[in-house]
Amino acid sequence: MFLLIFVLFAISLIVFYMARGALPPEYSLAPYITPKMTDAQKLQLAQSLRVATASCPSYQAFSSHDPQCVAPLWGQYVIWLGLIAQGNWGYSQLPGLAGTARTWDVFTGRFPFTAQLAIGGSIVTFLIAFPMGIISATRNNKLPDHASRIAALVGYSLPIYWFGYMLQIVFVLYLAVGGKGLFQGSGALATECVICFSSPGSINTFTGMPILDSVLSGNLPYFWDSLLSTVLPIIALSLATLSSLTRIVRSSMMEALRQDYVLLARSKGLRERVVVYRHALRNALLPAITVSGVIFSTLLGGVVLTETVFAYPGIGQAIVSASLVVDINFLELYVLVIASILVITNLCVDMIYAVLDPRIRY
Amino acid sequence: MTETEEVPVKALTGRRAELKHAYTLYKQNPVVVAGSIIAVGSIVLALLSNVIVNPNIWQVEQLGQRLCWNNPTFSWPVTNVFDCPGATYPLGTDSWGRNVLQMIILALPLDMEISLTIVVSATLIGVALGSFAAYVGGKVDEAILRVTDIFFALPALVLAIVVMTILGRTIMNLTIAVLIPWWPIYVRLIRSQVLSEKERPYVEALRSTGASPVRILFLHILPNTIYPVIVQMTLDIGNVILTFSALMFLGFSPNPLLPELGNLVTEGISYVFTAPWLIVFPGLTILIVVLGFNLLGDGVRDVLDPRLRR
Amino acid sequence: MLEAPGISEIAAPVLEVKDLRVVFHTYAGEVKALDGVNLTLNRHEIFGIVGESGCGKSVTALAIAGLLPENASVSGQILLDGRNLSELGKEEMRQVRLKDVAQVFQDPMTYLNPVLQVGFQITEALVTETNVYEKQMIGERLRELDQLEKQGTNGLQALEQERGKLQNALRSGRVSKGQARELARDVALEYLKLVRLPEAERIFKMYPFELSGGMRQRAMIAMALVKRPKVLLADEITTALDVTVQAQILALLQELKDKIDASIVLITHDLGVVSEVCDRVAVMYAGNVVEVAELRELFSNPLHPYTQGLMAAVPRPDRSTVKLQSIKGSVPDLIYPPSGCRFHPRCPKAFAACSQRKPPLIEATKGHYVECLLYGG
Repeated sequence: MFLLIFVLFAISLIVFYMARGALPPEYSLAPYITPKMTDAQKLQLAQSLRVATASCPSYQAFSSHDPQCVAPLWGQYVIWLGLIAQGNWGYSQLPGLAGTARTWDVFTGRFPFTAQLAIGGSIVTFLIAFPMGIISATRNNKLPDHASRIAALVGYSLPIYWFGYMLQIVFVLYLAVGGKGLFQGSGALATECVICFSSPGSINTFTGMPILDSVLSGNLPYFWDSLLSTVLPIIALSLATLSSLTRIVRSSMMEALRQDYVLLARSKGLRERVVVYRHALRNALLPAITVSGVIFSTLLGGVVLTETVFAYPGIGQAIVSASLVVDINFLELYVLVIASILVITNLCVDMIYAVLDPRIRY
Repeated sequence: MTETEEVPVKALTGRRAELKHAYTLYKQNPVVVAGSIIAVGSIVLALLSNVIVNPNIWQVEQLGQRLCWNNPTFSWPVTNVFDCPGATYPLGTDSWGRNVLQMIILALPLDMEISLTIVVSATLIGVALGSFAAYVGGKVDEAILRVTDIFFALPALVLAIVVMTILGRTIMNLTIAVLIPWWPIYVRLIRSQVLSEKERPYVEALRSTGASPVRILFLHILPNTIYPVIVQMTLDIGNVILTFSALMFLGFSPNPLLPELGNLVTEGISYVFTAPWLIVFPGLTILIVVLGFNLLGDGVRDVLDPRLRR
Repeated sequence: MLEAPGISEIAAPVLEVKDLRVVFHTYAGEVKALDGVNLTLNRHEIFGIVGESGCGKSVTALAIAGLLPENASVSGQILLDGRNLSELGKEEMRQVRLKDVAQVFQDPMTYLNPVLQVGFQITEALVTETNVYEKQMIGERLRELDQLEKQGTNGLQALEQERGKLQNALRSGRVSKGQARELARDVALEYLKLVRLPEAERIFKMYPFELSGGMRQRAMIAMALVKRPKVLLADEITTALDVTVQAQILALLQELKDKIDASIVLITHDLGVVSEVCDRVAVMYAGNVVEVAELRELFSNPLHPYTQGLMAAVPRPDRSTVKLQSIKGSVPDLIYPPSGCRFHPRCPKAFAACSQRKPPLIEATKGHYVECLLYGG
């Protein structure tokens, strides 16, 4: 718990200071300005936010960086903390929105889409990596092992974005029937592909994730179309982490199978399956689980690339635009959310580890 | 049972013998050999690139040659592919009319240079901080660990994006942006290596002879911890290329014309279905180079690790 | 025709190993680990195999249990009650390991699975392979119920009920998982008490790291005995223990010899251990059995020069003025072993023929076998 708070504080402080220290103060003010504000109102706002000093004469002086307007950062930080504690992240600066939509709303609107990809990617990664790693380890140095090792190495060396485009080229361009590709290359709802519904109707919003909401609203065509639109992105996203986890499972299984207790288990006359799954795997899981935190982190990073390539409306796509226009609050919010998710994930991993390994508990 | 006299077993000892045996193992492993050929090949190509291709050619726009393809052996089943007038372009041309093959060759040295800079810097920082933390222990160690924890709370790409946003788009800033999430890995790696070496009897013996900590650290402990670090460095050359080319792809490059593999892919985004070669070949190059270094790193690990486990 | 040594006229031996050869195919070369090993194990005896590290003692045990790695080729005969184990397939060999051959290993810390409870590991095979053990477990429980009845405990009705259920299970041939677990637990507790582990019930639920070295080793012995094996292979079981604990374990083995049906093969490098508990002893060197004899006979009259060297090398506090003797030279490389008798380069009594042919196993005196040209061959 303390770790979470400490990390969040440290990150927010570091990013705050780096960002606002390196950039002109207009950027700090921008998220709170509404389009209709007058200059006087802007100056007042700047002073209440401690972005400008109380003695600053005019908005022009402020925007031309007059030294008497420059305020210390710590004051800004305190006020800013107070604001975000109330959930006020200002207005989003993303292109096309400029001051009309609140940052918080934009973020929470997009977050479920990213969650879909991240969760899907995790499921695919874990579901495929473990069996492949185990098979590779138990049939060591035979054909399945060599094949999966090479496949894993290639998967691990792929640039995600390039692979995303390759998938699009293959499935949308080449595997096309009647002008429509097999899957749709972009967007969160597939309506332009061979096997999808062209007009699936609408759904009620419960969680914000189309896949879940469509099931909850009972709209199966919508569910199918949303699902289809995630297939290619999830493949592109999880290939790298899948490959990496397969290698780790393989090596930790091989290590476990070399252990003395495996010899003892065999000498008791136990079936090979029992030896592999009950004795070797239980111990091999431990190093594999510790890596899950890193794997999940890589997934969350890869989401940025995947959403860009597939025009998927999640926070990954938004962060790229946010960086290009320097929407400071969006950046901070994004960073803090991602960091919280990762720290919590690591805590869960530690707990699972304690469950699996009795030596830690005592 | 017709063995002749006992073969006198020559006592091969020392590092030289181990390296010789390592070399034998290396030759027996085709995957590693393939990897090292690719890796060495790309380095050589990178070094020679200025000789093969005129280094100033990337700034010249030849709009008359835009987006065309005339490779005699292979054609794209895509409609409206223009034919390039004049010389053959084996990998086609891009939206500024430049020869894609030449751009890729020019991009290699830039990518390799940035990658090596980052990996070597991260290793140096890791050695400095990691060994310091491990050797001193106590509160200092705790503090350094906490700092690395902060960096591990964010994915590398995200952290790099944040840094790039703040710093602005230059090659130097890109290098810093990718270095920042990378050094904690080396700090942790070297710290754990030094920690386990520290407990060994020979260190205690050295301490009791009065050798200074610095001497023990650099002359004795570090050489014994170097093999996992070398493996990690080799693997990371590829991973770093993946990360910063991803950054360039996202739009953080200083100049859209810059010949860098990720940047070349960015050009192709608008032409995914009309001129796919713009994306396919630069990306394929990244794949091959990174694969080469990964194969090499894997092989180095296989060859060195079990042999030299102390 | 090789004569297997030590055949008792009274009962057939439980285990006979004839001309066992094992070669490991490795990157470095072909390791000829066993070069024609001959052994006989009689019923109810403790048979010691003694030799230096690397002489092939453990390989012999693994070969008997069928646990050699994939890169090993085995030839020769391993007869368990007349049945040749070296001809059996993997599944059949597994059945043999389930019932007849048990192994206890050197270091109980690494040989016990750290994440599973001790009791679970002991009863594991009983519960998973109930069809193999059900009759044995039910039989033991019925005997226990009889005992309780004789002692006149309360709850005779419950006892009768249980007896009825068990006899049903016996007749129908099916034991439920829950029943199997309970039965196995009872059997395990019985053996835990047999190996003199205090508070058997508590230990049942513990993890290996919570026990001391001696307790872990006893638990491993209980684990091996639970299946009522014919042969118990004890591979350096005292090597990793303190001297005092070692003595306790050896005393335990002595005690068990009369209480259980198994014949024990005790593998060790320590002559002291051998002299404490063994009935007969074999001395191994570089993949060969060089001498076999009864304990007293071997110690008072060692025939093979290697055995003589071993005996002379033991420090004797009563002869403090005599210099410590050692056998000159070192253990040969098994990839390029010496020709003829593998000991000849180090043997003080070697002569020309020793490097030319391998000595056969001959019976020098009654029940005392040697592989050495000095005594014929």
